[in-house]
Amino acid sequence: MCAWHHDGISEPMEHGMKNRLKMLRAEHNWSQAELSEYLGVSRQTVHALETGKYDPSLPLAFKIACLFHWPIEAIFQYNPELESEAKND
Amino acid sequence: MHQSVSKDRLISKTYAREFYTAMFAYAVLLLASVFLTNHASPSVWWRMPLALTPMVPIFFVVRAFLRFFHRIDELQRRIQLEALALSFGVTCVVTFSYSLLEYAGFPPLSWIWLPPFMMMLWSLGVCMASRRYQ
Repeated sequence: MCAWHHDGISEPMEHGMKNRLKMLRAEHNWSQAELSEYLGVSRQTVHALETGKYDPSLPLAFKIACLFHWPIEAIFQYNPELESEAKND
Repeated sequence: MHQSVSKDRLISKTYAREFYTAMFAYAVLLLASVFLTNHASPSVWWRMPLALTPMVPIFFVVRAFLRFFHRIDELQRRIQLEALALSFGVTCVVTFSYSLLEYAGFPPLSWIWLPPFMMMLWSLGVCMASRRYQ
């Protein structure tokens, strides 16, 4: 669950979270506006999620997982080491 | 593809329409209230209710913001909350500091400056919080 697969994963932010949202969106040939429409959020939110600047709420994370038919832990990954690194920076 | 953008715009447009309508009513009522209060006899009972009439549209301004707040998504809501927290915190520090300075001889200020000050900080907070998530 915490293993890292470096292809297509966003940069980790202060909470040590990474996600594959950008890669999944590219696979579906969706624009950020289209994805934001499907998720019922703003485009700014999709951009913040993709760049790892914002971690979604649990309901939104499940919505994303349902949309792409992927397990939630395959899209969002947590690494506590990155969290402590970010705190030390 | 453009429906989401339209939804965002619709939320903003609805908020702007409700906000500016209420603010226009506030401006009109404020002018009328100040004029009539100044020309009314000091002994009439309706002077105080009349002075407070501009607060009725202010209630609709607050209502417009709350409706907007419940329509926006979770990130936008977080940005608003961070901005409000900044506004609240800085206003507390500044008003407490000035209250202490008043004991040291600074002139007393009118409370009417407090809401614009908080709103200015709130706007600043929205800009700062938005930049963090860009």
